[in-house]
Amino acid sequence: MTRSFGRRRFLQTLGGGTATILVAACGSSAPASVPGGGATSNSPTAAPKAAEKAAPAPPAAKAAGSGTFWFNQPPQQEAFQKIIERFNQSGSGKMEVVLVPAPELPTKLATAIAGGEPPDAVRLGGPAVNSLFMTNGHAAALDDWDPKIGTYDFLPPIKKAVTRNGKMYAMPVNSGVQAFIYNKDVYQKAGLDPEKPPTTFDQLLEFAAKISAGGGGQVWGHYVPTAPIAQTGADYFPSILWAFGGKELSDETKIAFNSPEGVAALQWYKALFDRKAMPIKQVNEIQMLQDYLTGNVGSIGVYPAVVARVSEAGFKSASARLPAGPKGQTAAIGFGTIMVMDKAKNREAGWAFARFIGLEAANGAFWNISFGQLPPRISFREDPAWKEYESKNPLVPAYVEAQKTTDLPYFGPGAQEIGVELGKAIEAVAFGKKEPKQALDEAAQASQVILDRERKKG
Amino acid sequence: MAAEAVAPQAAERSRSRPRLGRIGVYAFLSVGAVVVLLPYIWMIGSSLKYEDEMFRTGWQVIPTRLRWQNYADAWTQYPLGRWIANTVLVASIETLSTILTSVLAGYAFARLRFWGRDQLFYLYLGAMMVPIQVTLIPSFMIVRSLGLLNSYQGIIVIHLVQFSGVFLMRQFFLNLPSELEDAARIDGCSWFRVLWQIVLPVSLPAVAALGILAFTTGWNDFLWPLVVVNKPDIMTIVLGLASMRSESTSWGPLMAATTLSAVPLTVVYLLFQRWFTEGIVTSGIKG
Repeated sequence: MTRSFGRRRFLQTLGGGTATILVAACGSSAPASVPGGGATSNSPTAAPKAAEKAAPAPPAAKAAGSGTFWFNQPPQQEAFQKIIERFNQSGSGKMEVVLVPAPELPTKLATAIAGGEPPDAVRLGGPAVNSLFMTNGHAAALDDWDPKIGTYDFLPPIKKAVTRNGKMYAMPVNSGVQAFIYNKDVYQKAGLDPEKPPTTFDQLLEFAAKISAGGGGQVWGHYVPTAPIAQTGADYFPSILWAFGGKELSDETKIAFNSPEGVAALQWYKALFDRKAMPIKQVNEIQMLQDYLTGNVGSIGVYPAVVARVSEAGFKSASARLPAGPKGQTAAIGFGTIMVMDKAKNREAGWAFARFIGLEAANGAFWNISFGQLPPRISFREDPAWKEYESKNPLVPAYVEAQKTTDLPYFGPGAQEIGVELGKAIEAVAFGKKEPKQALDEAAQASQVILDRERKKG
Repeated sequence: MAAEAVAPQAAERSRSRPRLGRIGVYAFLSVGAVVVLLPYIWMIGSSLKYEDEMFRTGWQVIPTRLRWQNYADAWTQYPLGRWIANTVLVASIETLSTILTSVLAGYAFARLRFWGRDQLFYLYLGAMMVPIQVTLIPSFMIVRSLGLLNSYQGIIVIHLVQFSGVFLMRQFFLNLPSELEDAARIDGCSWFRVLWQIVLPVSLPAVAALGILAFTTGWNDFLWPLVVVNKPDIMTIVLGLASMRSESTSWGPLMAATTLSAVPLTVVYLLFQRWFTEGIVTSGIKG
């Protein structure tokens, strides 16, 4: 998941900000327009059965010389260094690593591109940031090296997000999806069966309320993000919105999250607070995890990067797919890519590294195990190392299972700003300042202005 | 009788009014001080907390158990010493250069008469209003063409001259009485000697204020080092702290590192605070 790599955080920084301006300013020939923003339809995308077959062999690697790679998670450099050593010893090329704090990567990258000093390849998280650099013509088409790349078994929503006019402009290297993590000890203390997590949102509400009722104001049933930021509205809310039958947009031009289904989804949030199943406070993804790790929270819906930390906590946790709503369950998916920069000095080195991770199962599995992610290619799950990892980490299989019905949250024009508007609406409801309908109507009105403006920009 | 009785009461009231006013002022300032200091107290408190206490709901500034290991972790797991040394080097050179150029240019704009002086000053003043984001790419391209990317020189060069400093010094010099300088000029002193031997000795508070402001700017600069630095061994402290963040951030060591990074700046301020305050007042930029 991209998500574990801090995608959300640098998207918050990004939204309509400096990087966007810089990227646009230095944009050259755009490879294509953004196709629909990805998530106007939220029909579940089942992983292709063909994917179960072994991955086709990629074209043989040639030594590509030395290159520069920008990595956006400096705190994970220890794990990353092992990957780089593996690559450097493979004979495919040599890669020098530059560590760039994730939130600042778009700004630094945009400046370097404009200044004529882009890296050969860069790790980017999430559809919006990928789209930003693809749409402005800074990414090299990977089909130029491997014409069959579009036929490989990448998860369909991810492939769609990195494809423009039939060509892939970034190599998906990891993915993530929301799943349900719960504290078995808390469940047991509340008199709930720790082996039976809730399967519907109604049930989750009941369980969460019961946990809080017996927690004396110290233990809470369930957490959802409530901070007025893009992460809340653009990354986390869609799974629940879809479960209630809502959509972010009805088509590419019309905001639709304030539909009766959307209001019902937000009403569910409100019920969490009305029934004191969650404390009334601003919570972002990090805080949600931190509070969960105190052992005083019953459950959270999160991405797989948290698995390692949750496993190390001093209490027993289990995972399951997110509960279903009246319209089923489609979890929001995220991903990370390696993008080869079009104007790089040594694009071959960039491609060699992207290929090494994205098209070779053993390396792809190694990457995802190292960072607690999920392979974006179905066939990579058959890699022995991955299978062993899955068998040793009981929290992981639920995530793999959840990948079967996933979709990307809306990531088209204005996605981040629209996410912020949704985040504000959620916060207003959480703090009891507005009713769900009013909050969503106001957010929809503001979002429509944003969408119209961004679409006009082209 | 009645009039005599009323008079002491009136005097008492008039004495108590200023006292009440002073109490109000102190109460206001105390609240302001708490508001300003609270984030720092929180930072220090968090630097000594265990992870499980870090995000507990509610106000818990003081940790229940102290974890000094956060400081050891910050120091051993990250090149904090190197980052701080880099920042001291960068900020010191930028400060010295800023003082030198600001004093010379500020004095020229305040006292020397030359064609287009005021127009040039207003042009600079306008340039001061342009945010760095606008000049980021051109500056990057210039530094790249000079071959200074990934070097200390590359970080420093953009801050060698800071027009806010020129503005501050000009305002200060304009407030100085010019009689002494006129006398010196009549006696044959050159402009530079007037500046060096007459003006500068009485301008030390303003220079100190400028120095602290320049040092703080250099210390806290983030965006420019971010774009010109790729090598970890020349990272500045702010860049280093940013690189410690992720979704799995260890907040204890990060808060410890943040606390340590604030120490040099605090020391510089404490050493020069009297001059700093005086300089801000006398240069007329206190608002």
